[in-house]
Amino acid sequence: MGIACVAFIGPQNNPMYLRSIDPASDDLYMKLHYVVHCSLDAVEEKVLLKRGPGDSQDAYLGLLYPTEDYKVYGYLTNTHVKIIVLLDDEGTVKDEAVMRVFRRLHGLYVDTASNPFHKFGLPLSSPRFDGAVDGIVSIYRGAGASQGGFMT
Amino acid sequence: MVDIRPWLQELYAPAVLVASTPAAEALIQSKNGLGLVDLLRPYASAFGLNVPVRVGESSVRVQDLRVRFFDVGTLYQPPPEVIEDHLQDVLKLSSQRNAKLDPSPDLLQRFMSDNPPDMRELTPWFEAYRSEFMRLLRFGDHETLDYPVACVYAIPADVQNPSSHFDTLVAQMALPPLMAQDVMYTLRDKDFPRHYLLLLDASTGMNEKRAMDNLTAIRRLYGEAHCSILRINSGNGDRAHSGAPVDFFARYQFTCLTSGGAGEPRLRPPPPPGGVGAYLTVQDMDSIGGFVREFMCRTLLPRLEDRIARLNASITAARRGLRNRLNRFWKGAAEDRQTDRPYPWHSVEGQMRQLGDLAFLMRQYTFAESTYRLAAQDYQAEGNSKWYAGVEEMIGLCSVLNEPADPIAAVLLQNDPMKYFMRAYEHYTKPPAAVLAAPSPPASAGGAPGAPGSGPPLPPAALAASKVGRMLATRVVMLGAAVQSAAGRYRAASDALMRAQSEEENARAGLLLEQSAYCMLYLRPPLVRKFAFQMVLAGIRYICCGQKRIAIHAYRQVLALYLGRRWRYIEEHLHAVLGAQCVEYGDKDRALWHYCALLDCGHRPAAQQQHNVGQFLNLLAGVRDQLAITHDGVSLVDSLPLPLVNRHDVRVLCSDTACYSGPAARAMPESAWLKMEACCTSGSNNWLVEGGGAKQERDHEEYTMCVSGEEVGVQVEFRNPLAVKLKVSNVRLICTFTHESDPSAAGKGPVALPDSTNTSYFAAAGGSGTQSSNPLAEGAHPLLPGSAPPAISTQPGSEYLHVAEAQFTLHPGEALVEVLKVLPRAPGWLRITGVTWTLNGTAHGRITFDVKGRRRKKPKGERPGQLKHFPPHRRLLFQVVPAMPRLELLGDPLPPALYSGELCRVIMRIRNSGGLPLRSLALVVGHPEAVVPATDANKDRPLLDSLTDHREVVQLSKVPASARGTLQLYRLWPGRELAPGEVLEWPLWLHPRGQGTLKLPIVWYGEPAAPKSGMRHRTLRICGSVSVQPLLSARPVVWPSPTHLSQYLLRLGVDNSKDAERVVLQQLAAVTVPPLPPHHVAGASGVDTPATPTNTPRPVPVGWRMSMLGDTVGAPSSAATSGPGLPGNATPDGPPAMAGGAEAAARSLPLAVPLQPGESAGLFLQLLAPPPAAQQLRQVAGSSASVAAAGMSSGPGGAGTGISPPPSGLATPGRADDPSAVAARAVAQAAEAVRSLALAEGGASGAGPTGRVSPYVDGSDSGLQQLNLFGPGVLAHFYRRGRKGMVAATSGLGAAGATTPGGLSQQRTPGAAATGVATPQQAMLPGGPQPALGQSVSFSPQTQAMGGPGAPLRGVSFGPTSTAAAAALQGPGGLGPGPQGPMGPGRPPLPPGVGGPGVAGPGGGLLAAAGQGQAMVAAGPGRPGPPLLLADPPLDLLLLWHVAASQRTGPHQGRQRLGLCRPYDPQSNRDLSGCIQAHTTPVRMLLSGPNGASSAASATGSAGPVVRHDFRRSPLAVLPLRLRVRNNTALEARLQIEVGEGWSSNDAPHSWQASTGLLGGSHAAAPAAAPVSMGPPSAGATGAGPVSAGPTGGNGPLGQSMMAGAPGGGPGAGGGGGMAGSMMAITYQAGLPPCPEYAWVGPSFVSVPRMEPGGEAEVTLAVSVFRPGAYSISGYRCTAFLEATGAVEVQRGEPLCFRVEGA
Repeated sequence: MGIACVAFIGPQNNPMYLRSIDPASDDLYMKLHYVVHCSLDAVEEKVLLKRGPGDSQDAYLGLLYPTEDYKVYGYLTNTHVKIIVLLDDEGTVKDEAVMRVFRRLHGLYVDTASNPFHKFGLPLSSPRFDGAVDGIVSIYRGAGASQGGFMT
Repeated sequence: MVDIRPWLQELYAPAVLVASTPAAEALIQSKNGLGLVDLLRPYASAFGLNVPVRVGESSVRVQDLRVRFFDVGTLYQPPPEVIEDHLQDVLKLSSQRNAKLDPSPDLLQRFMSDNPPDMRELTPWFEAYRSEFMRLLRFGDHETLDYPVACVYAIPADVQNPSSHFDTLVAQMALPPLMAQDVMYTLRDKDFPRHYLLLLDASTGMNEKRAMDNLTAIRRLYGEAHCSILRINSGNGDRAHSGAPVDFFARYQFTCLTSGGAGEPRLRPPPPPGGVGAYLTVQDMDSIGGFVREFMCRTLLPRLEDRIARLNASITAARRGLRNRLNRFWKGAAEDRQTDRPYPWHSVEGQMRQLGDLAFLMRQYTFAESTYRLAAQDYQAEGNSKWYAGVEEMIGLCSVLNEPADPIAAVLLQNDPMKYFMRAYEHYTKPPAAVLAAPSPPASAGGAPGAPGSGPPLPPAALAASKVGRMLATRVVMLGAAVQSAAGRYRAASDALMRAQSEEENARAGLLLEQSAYCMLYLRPPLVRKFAFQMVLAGIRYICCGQKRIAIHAYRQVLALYLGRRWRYIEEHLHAVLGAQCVEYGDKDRALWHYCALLDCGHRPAAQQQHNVGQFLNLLAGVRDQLAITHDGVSLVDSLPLPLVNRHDVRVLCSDTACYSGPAARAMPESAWLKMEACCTSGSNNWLVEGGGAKQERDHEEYTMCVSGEEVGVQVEFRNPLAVKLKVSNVRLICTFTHESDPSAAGKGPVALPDSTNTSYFAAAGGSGTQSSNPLAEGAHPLLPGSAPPAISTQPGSEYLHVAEAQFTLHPGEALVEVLKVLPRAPGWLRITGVTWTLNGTAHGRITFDVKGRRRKKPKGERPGQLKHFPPHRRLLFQVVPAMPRLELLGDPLPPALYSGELCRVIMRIRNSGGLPLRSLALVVGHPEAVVPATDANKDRPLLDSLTDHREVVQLSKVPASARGTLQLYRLWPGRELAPGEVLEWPLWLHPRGQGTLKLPIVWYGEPAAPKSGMRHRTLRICGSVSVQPLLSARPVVWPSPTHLSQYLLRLGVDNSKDAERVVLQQLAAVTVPPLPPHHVAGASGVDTPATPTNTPRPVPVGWRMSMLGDTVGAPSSAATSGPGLPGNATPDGPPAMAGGAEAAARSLPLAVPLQPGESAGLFLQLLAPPPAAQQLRQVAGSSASVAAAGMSSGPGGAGTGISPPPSGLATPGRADDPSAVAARAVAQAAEAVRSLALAEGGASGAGPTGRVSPYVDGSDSGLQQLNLFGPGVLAHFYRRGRKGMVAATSGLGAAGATTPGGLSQQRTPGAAATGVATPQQAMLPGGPQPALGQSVSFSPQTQAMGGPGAPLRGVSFGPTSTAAAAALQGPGGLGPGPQGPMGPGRPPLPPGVGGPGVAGPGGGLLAAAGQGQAMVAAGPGRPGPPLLLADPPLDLLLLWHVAASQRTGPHQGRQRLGLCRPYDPQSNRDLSGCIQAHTTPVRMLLSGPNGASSAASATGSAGPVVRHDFRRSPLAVLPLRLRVRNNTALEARLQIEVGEGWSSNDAPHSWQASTGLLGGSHAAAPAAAPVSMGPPSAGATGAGPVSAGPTGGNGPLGQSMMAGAPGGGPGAGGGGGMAGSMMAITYQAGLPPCPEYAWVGPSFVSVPRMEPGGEAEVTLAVSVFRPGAYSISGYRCTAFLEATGAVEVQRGEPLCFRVEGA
C-alpha cells in the first residue's frame, strides 16, 4: 500500500499541483490527471450531500471512489483547495493514517501559500514543495508498513 | 422511469422450426424471392387467441402470442469470430448513420433540466448493436429459450402421396447441431409438435383438387388439427396489387452471416424481376395469417401444454419434494461432474431448464422462477457454471418481469434483480470446464484458473467457448444495466457496465463505457467529470477497434467539458487524439482545429513542440482557403496561436501635432512633452484647451490626427513561446480607410459604424463603399499561395492607402516588438483593426487588437478604468488630414559619450520633410546642461573660436513661470520660414556636469505657414541621451588664512580618472558674483532672480581673487602689508592683462598641469575676498594712538606712578624694529609655517609639480590659458546662478554660546537671582533703560521684540528720563561718567548682583540684560538664530581642462576636447562658497603681538616668540598687541571688544594686565569691590573716569560716525562731553590676584562703532607683565551688534602665546 499520486486542486477546480510519486510515463501521468479530475465529482457530491449550511464538518472527505487501480481519497480545506491522494489499491487502508497524511499535506500547503510571492490558486512549482511532499509520502509509506505489522 | 418489461418480453418468444422440401421452397423463392420463413414471419404475432393453457398448477388463457419462425438449417450459433465481425459492421454502420461529429449542443443543460434526454436517442448505435448481439448469441447450448417448440413441415400441395414426401423431408432433413447432439429437444421425438403444410401455388395452375385430396389424406394421417393448406402466388407478378409495403418482409429479415446460423440463412435468394413478393396478393397474405393463427391455436399451444405437463411431472418425480431433496443431499457429492458439457434434453437437469424456459415463454414467471431455482441448485452443485449462470440470468429476468405492475407493491417487493445478473455474470466469465480440464495435470498443480492464456494453447473449441462465455456475460450485464437504468438506478447500472467493460473486447467495452458515462449524467447531481472520463475511455476503446467515427464523437462530446478548465494535459491529450483521429477519418478541417489547439505547447519538450508544429503545418500545407475553415463561427485564421501577439498592448506610433525622433522620445512621458510644448504654444493656446487642442472625439471615440503622406506605425509585440524557430512573414496591419469625399460614407459617418463584430464590420465596410484595405474582407485571401499577388495596388483602396509588409524570424523564446506601418495617402478616416501574418509560409494568422476606443457616453465613475479614456498611443482611429509641414531630425547629433564637465558643441540638422513651409521656429531645451546659442554664425568655426566669439551668446525667451528654471525656450529665425525639404543646422552646446546618463529632451516647434484645420503647429520631440563619464574630480579643502582675515587658503586636489585620458589643466578661474547692495540683502536672499541676459556688462567687476600660494612668499606678505583692501583696489578687470605683482592675485590663473590617467595634482591657492563695496580704509594709526593712549593713561594712573612712559613700554618688545616691521615679520612667519605645511602635504600626494606653473607642458594651449571664463557667452550661461549670498556658519553662534557660560560663570547666579527683579524692568520698559537694552540684548525672539520697540523709543526716551539714574544707566552704553564705576564689576553689561546704591532702575535693566544673556545661552545651541548672510559673495572656481587629441574611438577621436571642472560638489549644485561658509564666523579676530606672535600661530601649537625685557630697568613689560577684526556678515555691525576676562598665564599670579581702548567709547570699569570699598578703588574709578572723558584723541570721522551710529547715547549722557570715541588710556595696576587690596584693572571694552560688511578694523591693545615667563593670552572676545536684525554675535578669540625673558 502506498501513495501513488498527490494532487492539489484549486478552488476553481483547476489543477495546482499533480505529482506522481513514482516516475510515471506520459500515459500514466495523463491517466492520473483524469482520475484526479474525476474525483472532483465525488468531492462535490460529498460536499453537497454531507454538508448542510452552517455545518462545519471535518475537512477529511474519506474515500471518494475506487477505480480499478487506485483508491482515491480527498480532503477539502477551508479555502476550497482540494487535496487528492491516490493510493495503490493494495492492502487495507487505515483512515487515521490517510488523515494524518492529509493533515501534513494541508500544513505544507498552508506554509507554501503563506509565501508572499505565492498567488492563491495558481500552480505550485517549487522544488522545495516537491521535496516536502516526498517526505510526507515516505512517512506514510513507512507508517503503513509498520501498521501492517506482519511483514516478514 | 420506463417500463422495461415489454422490451424484455419482446426479446423472448417460442421458436418454431420450419422445414420444407426444396420443391416447396422453390415455389415461393422463384416467384417472390422469399423463403417460407420470410413468408410466415410477418404474421408471427397473433392476438385474441384466448386459448387456455395450463402451466404447472395454474391455468392461463393465452390471448396474444408471438412465435419466431426459423428455418431448420439455421438453428445454430455462429462461431464467435463471425459474430464479432458482424457486430463490428453493425456498429460501424450505425455510427455512420447516427453518430454526429460535432458534440450535441447544451448536453449538460438538457440533463440538468427536468426532462433529460433518452438514452436511446443519445446512443442509437448501442440499441442496434445490442439487438444484433443478442440475436447472434441465440441457440446456445445452455439455454432452451430459442429451441424450437414446434415445427412446420411444408411440401407442395399437388404431389403424389404427400405423406411419403413428408417422410422424405423428415428423413433427409439435416438436423441442427444441438439437436444432433441430443441437447435440443429433438424432432425425432414422437411427441414433438408438428404441423403439416401443403403449399398451393396458384400461379402455376396447380391441381387444386389433388391438393385438397392430399390435405384430406394427410389430415387423416396426422390429425385434423395439424394439417393445413396454404394458397400462395395468386398474383400476377406485379407487386402493386399485393398492397404490402416495400419492406414488408425485409423488416423481419435479419442480416445473413457468412457462416449462416443464428436463425438466418447463409444467403438470401435473389429478388425476382417483379420484386420481392411479386406474386403475393392480399388474399395470400391473409391466408398466411390465418394459417399461423390456426397453427398456434391448434397445434402449438395444445402440444406445448402437453409438454409442459410432461416435463413438470417428470421433474416433480425426480427433484421436487422432500425425498428427492434428501436424495440429492446424500448423493450430491458423488455426482460431481466438473464439466460444463451440456445436459441432454431428456436428462432431469435439461428438463428443468426446458420447463423453466417454457413457463417463461408462457409468461408464467413465478413458476418459471421456481423451476429455475430448482435447476440452479443442481447446476451449482455440479459446478456447471454456464448452466448455472444461464438460470441465474433467467431468475433475474423473472424477478424483473414478475414485478407487480402496482408501483407500491413493486417497492415492497424490492428485490434487486441485479444480484442474479451479477451472479450470472460471474459464472459466465468463469473459464469453461473444458479449458480447466484440458491442462488438467498442470492446472491442478498450478491452480491458476484466472489465467487461461498462461497454459499451453487451448483447443479452439475451448477458446471459442470462453469467448462465447465472455459475450454471454456481457449480455447479462447489458440486460442488467438496461433493467437498472430503467428503474432509475443509474449508479448500479454504471457499476455493472464498468465492471464488464474492463475485460471486454474493445468495441463492446467502448459501448459499455459510453453507456456507463451517460448513466453518470442521469445521476443527481450529474457527475460530469466522471462522464467525461468514461467517455474518453470509451473513445480510447473505440479507437483501438477502429471505430473512428464513434470515437471522434465520444471525444468531442466531452472536449468542451475540459476546455478552459486549465487541465492542460487532458486537453492536449484530447486534442492530440482527436487530431489524429480526424486525420485518419479524413476530416481535415477538424483535425486542423485540434492540431491548432496543440500549437501552444511551450511547456512540452522541444521535440514534441517541433512535432506539433510540423504536424499542423504539414496538414495545412495543401489547404487553400484557410479562412473558410471555421469552428463555432471562428475562423482558423483567427485562432492561430503562433506567434503570440499581444493584442492588448499595442502602441501607436503616429505623428499628430507632435513628431518623434525616435523610440527614446516616445518613452518619455507625454506630460513632460506637453509641458515643454506649452512653452511655445502658450501664445496660441489658452487654458481651456489643454494639451494642444480640443478633445478629439468622434462618435464618442477619441481619435488621433495624422497627416496624409506620413506613415502611421503600430508597435505590436510578437512572441515565440516555443523552443522552435518560427518564421513570420507577410506581417501587415488590417485597416479600413474611408475617403473624406466618399459620398455614401459622408452621409452616415464614415467609420462610425454601429456596434458589430469585426467580421461584420469588414463586410459592412466593404458593402457601404468604404475603401477597405483589408484583404480578408475581400473574397480572396491575397496571401494565399497562387492567388492574387499581395500587392495592395490591386485593392480598391490602393490609391489612398499603402500597407507595408514585414517579416521576421522569431527564435525560441524570443519576443519581438515590430513596428507595422500603414501609409495613408489622402485625407479621410483610417481605422486599424488588427494584424495578419503568415507562419512559416503556410499558416495564416489574424488577430484583432483589443483596444476599444469607444468611450462610454456616461462614465460610471471618475477612475480611469471607468472613464475608458485612452491615451493617444492606444487610439486606433485616425483622422487623416492633408499634408502638413513636418520636422525631421537628420541623424542623431549627440555624441554617445562625453566627459563630465566637457564642453561640446553639436550641430542639430533639422529638415522640413512635410509638404508645407514652416515658420515661427522655436526650440525648447529641457535640461540646464545644454544651451543653444542665439546665432548659428559660429557653427562652422572651431570650438575655441566660437567660445571666444562675443556673438556666441545665449538669448533666452521668456517661458511660463511654471516651467521656469528647467526649460529653456529659444526663438530662432524670427520671420523666416523653413521651406519643404530645407535643412536647418543649428548648434547646441552641451556641458554635462554630472555623471551617468544625460537625458536631453528637446522640442522643435514650428507652425505651418498656412494654417489648416486641426493642426496649428507641429513639434518634433527629440530625446537624446549622452553617457557622461567621469574625468576630473576635485577635492577642495578650504581653511581661513591665518594671517589675513579676508583671505582663505584653498588646497585643490585634482584627480584624473583612471580610465580617462591625459588632460592638461589650463586655467583656474574664480567665477563670482559681486556682492549685493546692502538693501538687497534681506529681500533677495531666497529668491531666484530671473535670468537676466548675462551679457550686460557689470559695472564694478570686483570679485574674488586668487593667487598661488606656493609661488612667492612675498606676494601675500606684501598684500598683507598693504592691507586687505589693496588687491581689490589694485586689480582691475581683465585678469589676463594682469602681470607682474598683480599676477599674485588675479581672477584667473593660467596653468599648465598635465595629468595622466589616474594621476593627481594639488594646487594651493589663496582666495582673496573682494573688498567691501564702499569700504574705507579703516586703518587707525595704531601705534600713535596707542602711544597717545599710553601717554595719557600714564597721567591719571595714580596707582602706577612709577611706571615707565608708554613709548618706552612700547619700545621694549620690539627690540630693533619698528612695529610695522615686526608685524610684517610675524605674518611672514605664520605664512611660512602654513606654506610648509601645505608643501609637505602636496609632496605627499605624489604629484611632482604641485601647482607650480611650468613654462611649457606638452599639450598645453596658451590660448586656453587666456580664455575668458567670465564674460558673457555660452560659458557664463552655464554658470549663471541665483545670487544667493553665503550664510555664516552657525558654529560661531554655538561657540559664543559655549564660551559665554565659561566667561560668565560667576555672574550667572546673580543673573538668575535677578530675574525676580526683572519685573520692575518690564514696568520701566518705556523708560530710560531702553537704549541699553536695545544694544546689549538681541538674541532670543522676545528680546528682539523688545529691541524693536526699544529702537524707536531710543531717541525719544532720553529727554524725559534724563535723571541721574538714567544717566547712570548709560554707563554700559559707552559713557564713562564717574558714578557708573560701581556698576561695572566683572563685566560691564552684567550687573554686579545686588546692585549699587540708588541704581534700582538701571540694575533692573541690567539684570534684564543678564537674564537675556542667560536666555541666549539656553537658546543658542539648540535653536540657532536666523542665519546671517556673509559679506563675501559666493565663490565658484572653474578649472579649465583640455585634451589635446582624444584617444577615444568614436566621433571624438583625434579631436581637441576641453571642459570645465567645477571643484566643489557639482551634484548638489553648490559652489565653493559652501566650503568657505563652513569656516566663516560672523566676526573674525586675529591677535598678533611682538616678534610675530600671532593667535593663528599659537593655534597651531607654537609656543610663540620670545620677548626680552629688562625687568631691572622697568618692572613692567608692556607688550603691544594688535587685534584685527573683520565683520564677515553682510550687515553693518557695531563691535565691542572686551579684554581681560580671562587672562591666564603659566603662572597666573604674576601676570599683569592692561587694557586699552582705541576706538569708540571704551570704558574701564572699576573692580567689583570698588563700590563697597574705600578710596583706592574709587580713585581708580575716578581716574578712569577722567581718562575716558579727557582725551579726545579720536579723529573726527570716527567720532562722527560713532556719534551717529553708536547707540551709546554718548552725547546725551555725557552732558556735552561728546568724547565717547576717546582713546582709553592704559591703566597699569600692579596686583597679583584680583583682590581688594590692590587695584586691579578689570576688563576693558573697545567699541568699534560701525563696521561695514566685510570691513576690517584694527584695535591696538597692550599687555604688561612684570616677570619673565610663558604667557598665553586668551581672554578676549568680541561681541557684534547687528543693527539691521538686532542680533548679537559673540566671538571668542584664539589664545596668543609668547614668552617673556629677562634681557
